Amino acid sequence: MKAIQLKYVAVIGLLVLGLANHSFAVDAAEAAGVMADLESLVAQAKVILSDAALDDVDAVAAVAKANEISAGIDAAVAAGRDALSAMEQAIANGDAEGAESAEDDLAVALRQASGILSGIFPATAATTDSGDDSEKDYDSPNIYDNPWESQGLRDYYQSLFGAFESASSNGQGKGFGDQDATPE
Amino acid sequence: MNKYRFVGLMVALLVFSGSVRNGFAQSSITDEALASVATAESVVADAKASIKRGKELVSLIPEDSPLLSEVRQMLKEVSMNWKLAVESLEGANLSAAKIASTSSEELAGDYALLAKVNSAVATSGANVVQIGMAYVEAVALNKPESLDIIRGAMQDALAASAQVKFNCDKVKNLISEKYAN
Repeated sequence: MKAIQLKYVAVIGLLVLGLANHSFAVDAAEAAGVMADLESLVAQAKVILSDAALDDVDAVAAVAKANEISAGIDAAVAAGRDALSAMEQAIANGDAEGAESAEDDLAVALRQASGILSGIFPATAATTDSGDDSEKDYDSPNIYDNPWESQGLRDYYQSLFGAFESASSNGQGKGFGDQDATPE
Repeated sequence: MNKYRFVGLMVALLVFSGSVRNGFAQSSITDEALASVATAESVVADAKASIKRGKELVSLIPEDSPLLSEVRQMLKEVSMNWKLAVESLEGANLSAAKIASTSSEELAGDYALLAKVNSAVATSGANVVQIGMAYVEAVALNKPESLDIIRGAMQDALAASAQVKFNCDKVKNLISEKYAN
């Protein structure tokens, strides 16, 4: 399993270096090619997951780890799809700057996915940076992390909304204003 | 090829590609395409080995197994994706061979892109094969707790494989349009 991951990491490394070097004069075909690479990582993550399910030693831990990898890659691919869609829209509207920005987002998605496949998640990528830690008096910012996009925060906001909805007059409760403060 | 030797080769290619990239952008495009093709070849070889093992394991499944119809369905998907993987790998190799023989940098870049997307299709198809064979293994070796996970993995991998194919076709169409005009 590790060897399979490593070979992907090496190739995706090449692709990422390629993205950095091509300067990407907004090439729709090349962007679709990047998307194909990204989507193929989903299938690879699912191979890791199915291998983990058959693990004789510790299937539970292996599946948990594989699920984490898979979810991370799914998120990166979703971001890549959004970026590709935004890029195509920008090209259609003649918005060169928007197209280049979307293309950058696509490159970031590929970097994230390749990192995740090798076990480096966006939240931990910055902390693995080499350097003299004793000089640091703050946590390095993680440029790939969008906290508002994390599943945990989404769930949290969803639960807040759910609580608000159920308490409102539209939900099952009587609503904040209609509910009696004291039962009389 | 031994997996570890393969990984070593890939890493060496990566380092080499990075070190010479600035001066030789064209050769790096070729390197990327060749690395993608090499990965696809390796993954397809892994899938072939898993098919061989799967053939042995299928005989262990009792004929009255309630999962036999699902195994057949999996094997059908495996068969289709195996065919797709092999054909795409051939396409990738053909495109990769044409990179060196063309004098135009732009045309070489397009062949490299075609080699890469065909490799991606071959890789994802081979991945579907591996997951299908994992299902066969789970049934044959009586690991029912794995079945749901592998079923879900198969569904997602099939969807991903279809997306890879869709993007590959998009690349082919865009390149065709470029030379048609």
